[in-house]
Amino acid sequence: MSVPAVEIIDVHKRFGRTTALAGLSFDAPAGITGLLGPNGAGKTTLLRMAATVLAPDIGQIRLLGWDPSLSDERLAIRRRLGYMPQEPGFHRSFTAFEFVDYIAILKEMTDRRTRHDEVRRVLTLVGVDGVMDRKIKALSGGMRRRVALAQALLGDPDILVLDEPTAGLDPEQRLRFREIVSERAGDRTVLLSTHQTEDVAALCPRVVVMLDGSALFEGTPKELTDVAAGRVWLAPERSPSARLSWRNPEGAHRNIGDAPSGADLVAPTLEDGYLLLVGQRAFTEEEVA
Amino acid sequence: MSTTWHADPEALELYSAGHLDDVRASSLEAHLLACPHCRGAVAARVPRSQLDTMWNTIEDALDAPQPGIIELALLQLGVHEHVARLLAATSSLRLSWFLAEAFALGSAAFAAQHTAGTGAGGATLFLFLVLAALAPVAGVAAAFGPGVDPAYEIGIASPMRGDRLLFVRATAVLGASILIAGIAALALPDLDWTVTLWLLPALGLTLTTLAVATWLQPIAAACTVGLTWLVVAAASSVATTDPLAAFHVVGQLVSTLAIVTSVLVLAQRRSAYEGRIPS
Amino acid sequence: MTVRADGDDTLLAAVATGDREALAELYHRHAPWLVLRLSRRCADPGIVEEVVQDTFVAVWRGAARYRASGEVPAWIWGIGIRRLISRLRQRPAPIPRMHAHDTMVSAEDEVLISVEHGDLGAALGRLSPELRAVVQATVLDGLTTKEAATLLGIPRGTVKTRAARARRELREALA
Repeated sequence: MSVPAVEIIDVHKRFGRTTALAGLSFDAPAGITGLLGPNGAGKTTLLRMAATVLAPDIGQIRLLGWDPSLSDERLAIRRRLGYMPQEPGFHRSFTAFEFVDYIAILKEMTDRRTRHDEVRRVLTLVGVDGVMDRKIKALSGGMRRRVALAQALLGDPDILVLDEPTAGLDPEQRLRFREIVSERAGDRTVLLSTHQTEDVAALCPRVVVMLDGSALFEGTPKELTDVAAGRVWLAPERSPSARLSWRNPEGAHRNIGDAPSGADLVAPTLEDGYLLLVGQRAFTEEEVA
Repeated sequence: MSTTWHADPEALELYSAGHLDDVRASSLEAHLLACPHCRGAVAARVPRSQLDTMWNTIEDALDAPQPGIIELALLQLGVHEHVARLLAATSSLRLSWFLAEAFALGSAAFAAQHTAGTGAGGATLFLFLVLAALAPVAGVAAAFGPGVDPAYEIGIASPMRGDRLLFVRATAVLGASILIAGIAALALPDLDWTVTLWLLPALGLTLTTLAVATWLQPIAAACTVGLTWLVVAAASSVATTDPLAAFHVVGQLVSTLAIVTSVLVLAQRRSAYEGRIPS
Repeated sequence: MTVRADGDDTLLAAVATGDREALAELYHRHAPWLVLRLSRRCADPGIVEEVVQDTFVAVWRGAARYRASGEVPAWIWGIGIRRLISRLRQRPAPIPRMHAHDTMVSAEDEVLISVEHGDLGAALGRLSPELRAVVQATVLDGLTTKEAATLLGIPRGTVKTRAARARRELREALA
């Protein structure tokens, strides 16, 4: 059995009195793995660990077999890593080109000519080559995100860690982003976190659902969808036995939960599976409280 | 003027090859300024590859960041281009920072100048020396840390060794501060040893800050070291009869000791700068 | 947006707004003749390349300053020749060989010469190469005495005396 590209083994992390990760474990093969989960699930904390920016209190991480707690292996990871944080900070008065050039220097590209060619290459990849010499503060939010993605693509890294890369983008921009990532992925390892189930459905052969610092689910999008098999039905209004219910565009109510007999069952979507898992846990906690 | 009339192909051919005689060439050149058709004809005779290479160089020049004054100065000093670019990103190496520092130190020096010989003379001189010693510490703090360096996280995740970046920037900050303080010191009343009293403390404080930064975050380290020293300096100035006790013999010895100790600590603990994590 | 059909003025205005493709089109149209024309004033191809590159970078940066006071090609030439001169000022470079006037002037050449310069063309042909070079630099290229001196690699005084002699000879020829 081949070694998984990403191994997260019983990872715990606390910040003061808040527990961010409570015994998180999962494996991911090469290719794109999506982390789905609500705010506070611990996705960002985990991704920062994958990016070697943060260390776990307890537990182990392996990226392509390397252990980031060992300094020389950490360096090896960083040489093959591209990281797009959730809130990428930019040097205020830099142009897009200057900023990516700066990161390229941090990535040890010392030769000016090749470095500039590489900067131009990644900026063209994400489609901001027309505004390379505009200051970042003059760019729209969507464009800034693309610049942040561009710097992560410098040097064609084997590992890409993307934290909520599509947050704040409109549907067209999200589509474009998905194209870029899926083109790049190949047999590289991509870990990305998102709120949007459509991103996962379109991009990720593998999904991990996180809640409250641990993994609720690990598998393919199909398997996640199947969690809701037989548990989604339509009714004229909210069903009392439904865990979650909402109006669909046609005016009926889509209900998730334990379907009453004779209910009008419909095929589940990925979102149904996700909501069922996440809603269930939250629901249980509510009951206990 | 000559849009309906065009140059004959033979003339164009000779011109492109550089063999056309001067008179006809001058004539043709004047014509080319006005005739897009003949310009196109002549263009076909310049190698495509040459034009493409030149265009690449042009694009590079357009995209490449325009070095600021400080960066240009660094390049003149023989600093490698990528190091100079790194330093340019350091907020405390921007012109505004220099100006602020120059202003503060200059004012303090002039104040010392004007109050020399009066009761306040000792206090203003003390103020100048304190500012000169603390300036590089503030500069180091300003150059680092999540609150100040926006791309902090991406920087940590990059292969560049954290200590290398830190030392490169700290050296630049220290060098610049010493230069400014040195110039400002020329405005002091007595141009004797007093002018250099701040130098060893400045070095000692900066190195101590870097050493402490292997335990604390850079800004916290700078504040701790800076404030502690300030309190000690003020206390010693009040407690003893010498207002500049922190800068005289004992102070210089302590500074030297701090320099040596810090260097040893840094040599041991450099790797602590890797993967510095904001909580 | 297809820039191909636009006139040079329109392209230049687009360049002033940061349109990179407009600059690429201007480059496509004007770089080749600029290379050739500069090569007739400087024999070092490396310098010519650098100057052409610098010229288009200057076009990019200075596009907003162009006041439709002349044609765009002439404006570009003005930038180019001045770049060449300041470059030569730093480091003198070889000057191309003067091309002697071809005594066999064909009918077509007559048209060419007379269209642009009238009788002047024929009279110019009868000047010696050195005098003609000075006339070309100061009159046809519009350079100052100092600029012409740098370009031709001769002292300013020599430029003045040769220009004076050329004027005298031309006046006699056209009289």
